[in-house]
Amino acid sequence: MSRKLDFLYRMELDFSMPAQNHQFTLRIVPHSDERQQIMACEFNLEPECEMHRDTDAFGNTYIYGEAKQQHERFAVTVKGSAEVDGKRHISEKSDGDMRFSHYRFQSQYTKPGDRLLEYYSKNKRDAGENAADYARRLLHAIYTDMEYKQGVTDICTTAEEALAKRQGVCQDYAHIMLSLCRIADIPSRYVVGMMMGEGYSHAWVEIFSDGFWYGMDPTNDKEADDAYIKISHGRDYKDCIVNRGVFNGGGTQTQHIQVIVEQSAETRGK
Amino acid sequence: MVELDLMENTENINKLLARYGVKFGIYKNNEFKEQLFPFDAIPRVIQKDEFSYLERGLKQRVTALNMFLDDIYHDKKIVKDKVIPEDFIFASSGYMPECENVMPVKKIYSHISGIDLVKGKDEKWYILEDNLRVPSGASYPMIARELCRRSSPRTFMENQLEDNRNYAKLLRKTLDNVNVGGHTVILTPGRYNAAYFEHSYLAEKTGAHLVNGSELTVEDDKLYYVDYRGQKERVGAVYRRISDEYLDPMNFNPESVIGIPHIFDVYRKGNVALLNAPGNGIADDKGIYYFVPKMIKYYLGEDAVLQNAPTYLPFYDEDMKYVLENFDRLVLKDVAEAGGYGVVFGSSMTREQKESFIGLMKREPRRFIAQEVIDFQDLDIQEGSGCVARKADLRAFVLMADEPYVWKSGLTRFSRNPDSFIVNSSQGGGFKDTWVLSR
Repeated sequence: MSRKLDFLYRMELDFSMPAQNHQFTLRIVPHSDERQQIMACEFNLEPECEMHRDTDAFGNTYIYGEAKQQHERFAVTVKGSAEVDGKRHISEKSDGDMRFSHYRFQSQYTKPGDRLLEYYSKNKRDAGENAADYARRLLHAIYTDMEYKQGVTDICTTAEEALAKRQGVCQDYAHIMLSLCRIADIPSRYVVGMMMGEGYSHAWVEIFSDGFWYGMDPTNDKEADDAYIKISHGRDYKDCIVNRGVFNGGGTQTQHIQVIVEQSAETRGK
Repeated sequence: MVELDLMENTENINKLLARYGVKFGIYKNNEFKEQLFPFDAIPRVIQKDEFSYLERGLKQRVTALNMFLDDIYHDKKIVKDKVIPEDFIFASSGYMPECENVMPVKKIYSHISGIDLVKGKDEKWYILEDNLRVPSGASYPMIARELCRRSSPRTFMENQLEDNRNYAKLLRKTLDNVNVGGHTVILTPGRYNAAYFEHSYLAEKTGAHLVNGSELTVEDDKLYYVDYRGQKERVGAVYRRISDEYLDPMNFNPESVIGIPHIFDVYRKGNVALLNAPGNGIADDKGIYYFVPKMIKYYLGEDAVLQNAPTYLPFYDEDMKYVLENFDRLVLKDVAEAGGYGVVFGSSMTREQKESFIGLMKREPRRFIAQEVIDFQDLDIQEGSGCVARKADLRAFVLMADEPYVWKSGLTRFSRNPDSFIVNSSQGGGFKDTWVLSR
């Protein structure tokens, strides 16, 4: 049984002084796969400007362009509805012995140091243990050993650094999980998306096991179910940055992000 | 003696080189210092037959490396067939997944390759390193030859050698070959770059515009050059002299102020050619170097004409054993470093250094290669009124247009330190002209 969800992702960037020649790349548009059908999706950008759409090397939709004119606000709204089947998983065939190699080796944010290696040795994958079973164990271990706290880490914090602090946010939880899965030779990737009840964008991971990608959310100690809408995936945070931009002027900037995911209006109350 | 005639002019030529700004900038302790690139007038002379042998080997090598890059970013057959272990590709900092399935114009990845060789005392040539990202150095023998011809025309009348002043023409042909329509530009990070002299010199000689990132802009999914009046003109080929990392802040390092936002997006669509192609770093990797003779066999079905220096990968147990047993006579290289950094000789380490190095190598075997020290030939360089012998290497340039072409010259670099085998200009060496005899 799938669930119908309405979603809204709104990002506002307010400048204290006008910005111009604003180059942007947005990875903010979800696409359909086996577990989620995007039924409708409107994309709106303020100010109005030239835009292009493409698919990156990881398979994510991205929109890029330039707002040349002066503007004090840069606002993106993505609004639509999705049908999500939490019991289904994205299937993919591995290419012989090459099991998604760029997701199996460590990347910039996940490269383990002594702390992660030590943590892994306490939470080792058993010989012959199914990848998804092991990942479920990890979910719980990370959730138990980490404390969710904002402001302790930032967008540059690596898995090793976050583990040293034993505190962090969803990005850090995901990086730690990726690092451990990769030590255990499990292809795994970083996922950015939206989640019911979160109010903000969310990050979790997908791990590959027996032909399927399983969504795992260490921040909430649960598997990604029908309350999750995926936007993008990559090796780590760096491949999934929602908004990248360079511009002239602008002064200081304030960013607001609002994410709403709720039971679709037409099915609500049933 | 014609050589004497030329040698008497060494000082003059160096003065002229200084006046033309033939400098090499280096960063030391975060400070930018420019230093002259000392020129020694005694040329390295390569016989005609010897050069045609090198030519054959270099063409073969660069052809295979191009096929390798195409394969790695598409089918990955060489990995599937287990010729190269996955670790050496996917754990390499040179591999860029962003380049997966991106096809450069005419399938050419390495348009300008700089291959470093040395000639051993055994009279054999050995490949030391492949540079397929942004190899520099061609401008130095070009201008040195020009100045030598001026100061000693007789030398060049009486010796039968290949004219190396055709480099600009070859480069232009290489650029035009992939131009998708529009201007050809040379993109420089600016005058605080080690090779800025070269960027401006090559622009002048090829007739390409010398531009910095702020003069290029992406619009309508195409690349444009914006002139001082604000007029825009389409650009079809960019000989970029900045590294992948700084090329596009929207796709790579977001802190880059010398790149062009979205240039990689339009490159992916085939709307502009970038020379060399992004992602080539994987072919330069010191770990991949070991596999080049194997890739020549794999892609071309031929034995490699030019040999590597004997190399061992601690990644393989057998090689690790050999490296540990012969540690004191090997040179060890960190695959992540370049420019002569991260190179240590087993014999020069103290016992403590050795122990900690071996510990590191055992923890991260993939990170190192070990090589036999090639006892390469000395070349004479002038010192005072006499000559001294110093170690020297040769950077050969291979340009890929419709087919590979080896420039009949090259950059000969020598170490100024009598005990050093490291000839990199960033380590303070000098250079010579390279003569290829035409008969």
